[in-house]
Amino acid sequence: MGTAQNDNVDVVIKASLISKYFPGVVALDNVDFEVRRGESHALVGENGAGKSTLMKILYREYSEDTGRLYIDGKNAKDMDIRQIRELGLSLIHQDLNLVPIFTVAHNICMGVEPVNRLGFIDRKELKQKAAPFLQEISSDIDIDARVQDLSISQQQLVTVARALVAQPKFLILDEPTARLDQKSTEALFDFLDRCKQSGITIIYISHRLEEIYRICDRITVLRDGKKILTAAVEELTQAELVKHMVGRELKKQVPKEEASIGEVLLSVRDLHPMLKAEAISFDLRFGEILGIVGSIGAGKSEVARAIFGADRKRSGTIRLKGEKLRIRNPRGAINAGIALVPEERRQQGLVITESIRKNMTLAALKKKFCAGGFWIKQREEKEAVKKSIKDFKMATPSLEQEARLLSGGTQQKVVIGKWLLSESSIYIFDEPTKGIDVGGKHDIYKMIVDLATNGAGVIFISNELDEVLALCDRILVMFRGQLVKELVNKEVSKDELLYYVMGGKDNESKNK
Amino acid sequence: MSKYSSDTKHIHALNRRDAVASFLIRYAVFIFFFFIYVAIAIYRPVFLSPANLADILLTASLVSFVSFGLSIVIAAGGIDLSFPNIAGYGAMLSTFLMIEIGYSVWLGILAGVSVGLVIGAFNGLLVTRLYINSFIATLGTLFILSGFLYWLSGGQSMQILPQDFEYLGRGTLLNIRMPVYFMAGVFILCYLFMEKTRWGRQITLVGGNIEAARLSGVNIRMITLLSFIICGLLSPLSGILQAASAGAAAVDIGNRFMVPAFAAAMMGTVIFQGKNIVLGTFFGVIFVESLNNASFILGVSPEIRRVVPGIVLLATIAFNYYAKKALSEMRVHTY
Amino acid sequence: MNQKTNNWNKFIANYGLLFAFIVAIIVFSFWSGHFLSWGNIQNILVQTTSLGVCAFGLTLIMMMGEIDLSYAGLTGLIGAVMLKMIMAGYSPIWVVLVCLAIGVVSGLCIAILVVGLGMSSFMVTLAAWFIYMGLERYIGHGVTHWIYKYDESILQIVQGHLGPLPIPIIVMLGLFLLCWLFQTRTRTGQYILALGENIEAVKEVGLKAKLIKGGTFVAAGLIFGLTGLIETLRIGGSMVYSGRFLLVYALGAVFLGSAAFKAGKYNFPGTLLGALFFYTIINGLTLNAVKFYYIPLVQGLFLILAVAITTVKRGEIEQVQF
Repeated sequence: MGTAQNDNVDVVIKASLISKYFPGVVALDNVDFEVRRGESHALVGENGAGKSTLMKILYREYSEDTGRLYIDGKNAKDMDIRQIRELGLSLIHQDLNLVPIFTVAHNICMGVEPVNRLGFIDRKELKQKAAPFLQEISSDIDIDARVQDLSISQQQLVTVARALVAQPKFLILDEPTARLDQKSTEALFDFLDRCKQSGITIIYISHRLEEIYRICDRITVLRDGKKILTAAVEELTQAELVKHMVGRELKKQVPKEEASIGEVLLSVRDLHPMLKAEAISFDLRFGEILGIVGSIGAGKSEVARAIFGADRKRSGTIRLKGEKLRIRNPRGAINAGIALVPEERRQQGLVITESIRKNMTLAALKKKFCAGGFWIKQREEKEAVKKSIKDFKMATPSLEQEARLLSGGTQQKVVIGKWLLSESSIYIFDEPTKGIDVGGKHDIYKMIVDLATNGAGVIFISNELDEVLALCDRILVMFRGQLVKELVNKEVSKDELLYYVMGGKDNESKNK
Repeated sequence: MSKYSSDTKHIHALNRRDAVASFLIRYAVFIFFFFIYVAIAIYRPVFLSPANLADILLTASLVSFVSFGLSIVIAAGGIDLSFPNIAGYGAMLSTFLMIEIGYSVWLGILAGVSVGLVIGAFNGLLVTRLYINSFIATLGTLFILSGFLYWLSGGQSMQILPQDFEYLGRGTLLNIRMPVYFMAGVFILCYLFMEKTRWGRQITLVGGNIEAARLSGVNIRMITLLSFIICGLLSPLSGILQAASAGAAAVDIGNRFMVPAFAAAMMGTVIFQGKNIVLGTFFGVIFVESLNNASFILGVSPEIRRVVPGIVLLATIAFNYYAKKALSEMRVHTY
Repeated sequence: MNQKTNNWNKFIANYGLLFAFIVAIIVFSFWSGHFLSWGNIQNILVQTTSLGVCAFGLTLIMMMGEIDLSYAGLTGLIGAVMLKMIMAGYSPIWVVLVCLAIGVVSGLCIAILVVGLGMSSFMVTLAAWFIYMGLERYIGHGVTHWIYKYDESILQIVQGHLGPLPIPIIVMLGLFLLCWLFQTRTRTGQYILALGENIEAVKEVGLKAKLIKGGTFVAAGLIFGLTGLIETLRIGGSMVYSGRFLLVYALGAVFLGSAAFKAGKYNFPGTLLGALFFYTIINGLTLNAVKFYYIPLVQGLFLILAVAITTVKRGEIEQVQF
């Protein structure tokens, strides 16, 4: 194990006993984190493990925290972003924080634009100043183009170029490859190799094991806001690393009960969820859990939203038990018995300023809790919500508790509970476990498995391959808006699944 | 039933000090309310005399209708700036029909209220069909209506109103003026609507998070439209009863409602942390008009009294901001 | 083909307002022969000055994605203060300085509440508007006073000419150039635009987003102070609640302006065009003896139409943030 505490090594970033709280969540719990000069340090963990939070604390975007922080020997606790940048720390964000209507050159030089004698921005010099930084990372981006006209992949490269302007000695990259296409990923890796040669310290956050083993020297694993370990890459096999990240074998913990899968429940034909992609067709059967996987931007959420009528539909037909549905909006979908647990729980799933009771009965209000469709039957409503709270062991002092004060897991239970009350026949889950702690995750898995066991059809969309493998009967793989592969769970390994998720082709797979 | 793990680490009762602080923050408005009343009553005992209290109730009742309407629009996530002129137009139209055309009192009032409904629907359609920000849309309506007001009346005020009509504003029952009873009636209706009916519930939830409401199958267009219609429906009542109690209707009759109604509706959405806005608005109306009355009794000049509601509004917003922040921080530290 | 219609749409979106403006001018010039006389054009331009100046301040604020309604009350308040000072015999320089200072202090207070404490700019400035209206009544007692009765000298500021153009027009055009160059050419000006587009992008590179935002509120306050000064001098006295009309005009001009030149984005040439458009229509209608009460009616419709141009395609209900 990597406890090589050597006094001779030059520790340049030293964070100790860092804790950070958000309403309802402990994001970081007494985390120690050390980075040595010139190394590439990987920070890994599942979604919601606290990686991004820790990086934002290093960059002083979050300041209300506890603990100590030294960068390059200086106390960085009370610094602001500007001072941190002067120390030589640059952060490349997961979110593309660019100004869409500015040119590439202007975005790269944001904050350090050259000016002429009148104090006006010197556009020509701006371009000259930005060009070498852009050249570092990509040669086919037009420096005069507006950022809004670039592809997502190109935009991400622009953020990398922007980080270089500050002449960083330490570079933090927060899942930089999530939005990059294959070619740009290669360009980024070449660039990172050059960085390492010139002695720049790199902190690299990623979900992709291959990348970590290719780039990094040491690894720190976070799980549920706690530090699990730090070790050199040679000391950890990929399997061990995954075990540390997950904490246990998922598959064994959530046994998918053998549900009897029946007739076709929902059939989707020629659906166009994304603008520049081919049509998608698939079936969902009674009692089946159908997984849809793919990386960010593969179009998984768009499929869910298209079926649910959340966005304007482009084309395609949806049949429910053989009957053609015309779904124009979510109301139509709900009336047809379709439920969506949306990706963004706080923005799309809940009214966070309202009580559990009002949130839970929202979808079924007219159908089940209103006399004449108008007067709310308060007693029935309370009984139903109380029963749900008890059934799913929701952690709440009362049914009047505001949703914003609940933990992520309980919030998600409220959202799922809402659809259970409206007695739907098809449930679509879009990343239901994002940002939820382990206990909460397991409860949600159980709720999903129960639904399928009781005969409902479930579409389960996720980024996390482990949970998809643990839960689903069948798995659809999406890549850049297209359905590239259909797999039966029993016959597929995680490696194989990951291979398709990352855009691998069939014939090459056999050579592998 | 040990199927689901209960994440008990997330539940903690508030400790005693936080509980006291939380109570103080939640009910600060009432505590403040209480002290003001006591202070003024000691200084000028006439403040608590039955005649004066009845006076406060009367002025409060006139502004209450627009305040309820406005608070319901705010609850749905919109705003309506056109209410002073809806109130004015309703009052002018109904008195115009009574005096010039010879409509009966009830028919005149019905016409005034109906036109409010139509204007409310117009506002609602601008917001839900043309997707104009409600602030801009209703500001436009405010101006359009002021054009219509002059068109209708030629700038003249309506005087010599029918006796029956004036009774609605000046008549008394058990020593209490009629508008107070109307306020009580409308309050109960609004309260039941917002707390006990599906549409009222949906209005609150659309205002809380319109996207979540849409994805839960709420007809967000209809609900938003409805909130503007309700505001349009209630606003003329303020204008009409103001005209009845003053015995005349002038073109700018609605303008005096602008600031107090805003202050009251904002307080209403704040007092119970966004819950139970109709009751909150009722307290808001009483509070604003009490302060106004008190400053009159204390001999504050009428010019300064005009600043008071604006300051109440600003104080309310500031208080709301701090209460929310304090309550959420308190929660975080208990984990 | 598709590309062609796309370009055409873009062209309409960018220059539609300019065409509408030209069409309005042509229609009015046929309706009334006097409309295109130099005297009337000057008249329109002078009438536009206070609106134009005010709308420039508002454009800065709205570019950042915020709103400021305080000018609606500030204009009247400054009018009342000015008359009080003129009646007390202060020299014009003091009057001008105090007016601008009131604007700066107002902007500073708003900046502290909105940027410092994080309160909603809409509610804060709405309250500010109400408070200023009350203060105006307190200082001016709701009585109209005319400046010429007390001091003629200060009126020289608006009545004078610089070359062929009256001074107010020069002030407006000067401020326009200043704002335009500042916003499009300087770093800070560009950050103001960036704040409205993506505030995180500004924060991430270590810029002091709050300072820029607060500074913009103060600068806008100064411009609103100037608005009050010009408006009062242009009218020649303190009218009760004179800023109420500006409330709609200025918002209308800025929204209308966002439909010109840079479709959907607030920009200074657009705002200037929007302001001119407003007064051209008012002037054209008044010149043809249209009854006075049609004017607010036309203005209201105009505001709604101007905004609808940019919003009708959005497809999403916009809620007000408190």
